[in-house]
Amino acid sequence: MEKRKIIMDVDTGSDDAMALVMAMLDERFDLLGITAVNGNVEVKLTTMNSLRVVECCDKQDEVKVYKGCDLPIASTLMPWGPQATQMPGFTNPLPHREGTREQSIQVHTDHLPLPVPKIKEEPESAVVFLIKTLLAAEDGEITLVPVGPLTNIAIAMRADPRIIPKIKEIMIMGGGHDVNNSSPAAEFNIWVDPEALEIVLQSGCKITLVPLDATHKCFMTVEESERIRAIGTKPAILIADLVKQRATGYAQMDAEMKALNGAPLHDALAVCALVIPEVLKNVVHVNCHVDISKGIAYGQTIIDQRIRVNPTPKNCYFAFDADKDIFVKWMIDVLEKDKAKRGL
Amino acid sequence: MEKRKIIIDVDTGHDDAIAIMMAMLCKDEFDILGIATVNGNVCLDYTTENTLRVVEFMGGGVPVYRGCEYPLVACMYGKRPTLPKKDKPGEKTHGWLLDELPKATIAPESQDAVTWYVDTLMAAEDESITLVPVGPLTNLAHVFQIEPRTVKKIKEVICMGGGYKYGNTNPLSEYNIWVDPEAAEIVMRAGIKKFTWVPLDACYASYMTKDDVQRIRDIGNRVADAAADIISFIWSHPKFIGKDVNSIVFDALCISYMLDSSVLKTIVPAHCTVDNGGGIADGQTMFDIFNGRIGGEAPNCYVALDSDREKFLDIVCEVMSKAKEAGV
Repeated sequence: MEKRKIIMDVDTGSDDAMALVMAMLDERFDLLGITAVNGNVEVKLTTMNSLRVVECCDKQDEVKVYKGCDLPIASTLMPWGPQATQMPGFTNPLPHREGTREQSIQVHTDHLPLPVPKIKEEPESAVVFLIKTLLAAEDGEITLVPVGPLTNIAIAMRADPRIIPKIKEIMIMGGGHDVNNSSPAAEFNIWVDPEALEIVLQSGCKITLVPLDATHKCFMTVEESERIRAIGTKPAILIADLVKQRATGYAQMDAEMKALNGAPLHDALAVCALVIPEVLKNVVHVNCHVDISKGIAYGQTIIDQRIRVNPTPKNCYFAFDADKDIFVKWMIDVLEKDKAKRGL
Repeated sequence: MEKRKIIIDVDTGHDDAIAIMMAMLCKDEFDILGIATVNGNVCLDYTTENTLRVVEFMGGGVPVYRGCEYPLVACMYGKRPTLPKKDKPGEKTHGWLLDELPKATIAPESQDAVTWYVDTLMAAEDESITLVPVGPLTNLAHVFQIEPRTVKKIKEVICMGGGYKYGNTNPLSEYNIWVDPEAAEIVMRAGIKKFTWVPLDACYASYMTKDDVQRIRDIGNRVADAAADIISFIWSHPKFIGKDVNSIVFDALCISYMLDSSVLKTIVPAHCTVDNGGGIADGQTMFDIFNGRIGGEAPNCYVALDSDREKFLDIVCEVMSKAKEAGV
């Protein structure tokens, strides 16, 4: 079977790290590159953390990492906007610079619990890499998997719209309908750079959103992660360690996850959905736009659910639910297969 | 003298055309690495076509790169419904293409302007290239977002845009900045070592009258004739017929400044912030000039509040008279 050519766009990030592990180890993918972006932590750190994960999977000879945008397009430009100032009870201003947040209770620490990487990122900027790689590809050849803010993808589309027909589809982790986490209305990846997702949604590409509604169904408890730890490989142990870290972080803010002693593994679900589409349930073709008004709904993914004679045009698939069993089995299968391949 | 390496960023446009003509005539002074087009005065297809017309008319040899078709966010969801400006089907609005010049037969380069900027700047020495953006700052904002390391390659930026006392699109905002306020704010925050604004205040001070344009026409070569035609467009524009107006050749002032810096007067350091709040002040360039406030921000640019009208006309005429010897 032909492998699916993908580019991972990440803000690594504890769940991004798991998504990267799975994208590198699942043999059904041909990973053309990793582009890092500002998000969970600043881009300097997301780049470095991505390099760490590449080394952890022993893929340094195959997979290249590119550093992308350090700043969202517009959200931090307003001096008093929530993204640029201290938001009470939530977070520090964007970008999340190194050393500015208390580390012991974070879902995303500045540095992943892995050694400082020996390899370096490529000299070329992530956006230039995206444009040049896509322009050199056949139409509909490459799948993009952005699991952080959409800054890199949006800037690339605007700088050179000729890349748009080259994209087979875009599988995005981001957004939320009934579930949100960064404001009453918005999910973090979109809240960081609302305009970027809107640019992507208006591009005409085939887009699937894997929102919090789906990812919160695919949580993993610390207890369940011990099954993964038992596999014993470096990537498996990393995933188990990160589930524990995330559970500690979620216990600070999410009552449901605190009770379960677990956490959702958002970004990995988007990777899973590319090889096992049925992991996403209740996937609806919708009209979706992002609020960019800079008010209370800034960054909300708004789905038009009005029942109309002349409905608004559909521009993406939105997954309202997901299957936890399929997801966990996929992770274990891929990690076990990798272990066998290494002859362990 | 070493030639100044420049990149011109244009939304051609009448005044942009004069700026390109002047830069291409000053072969001893400028090494034009390329011209990037951007959406602005007219839509990108038109600014690119117009730019190619000017470059071809001037003998070619300067590569033209297609830039960004849309402002970063300013016209999403039908905000600014008139942007990007396009002809309505079957209706040709006067002045949208440079009818003063023949249609272009040359084509833009295959690379897009933004990645070309990144490649060119990254390959350059530190502080070696002068940027002359005279349209919306969309291309440059993309470049700095993509690759902040390009900033230290820039020697200086001379930018036509903004206004201190004046606006021309709404009471407070100048058109180039109003088209893409977010882009302008990104550029102001990029940390460019020397950024000089040539705002409406300086441009208005160097207005041209019909007599001034006659002086250009009297030079008597094909470039001066075309320039005179282009500068005169305003007097046959339906909006201005019968009105006592002067022609403002905004963008040419940036080129003139590089030839003789004394053409700009009252150049003061300032901290510039561009409003992007989406209200009536959207796109206003706020220059904190005297900056005596406690906690005031350090200057991040220079702004020219005045210019020398006579000197500007002299420079334009002098440059235009070079056309014959330059073989254009």
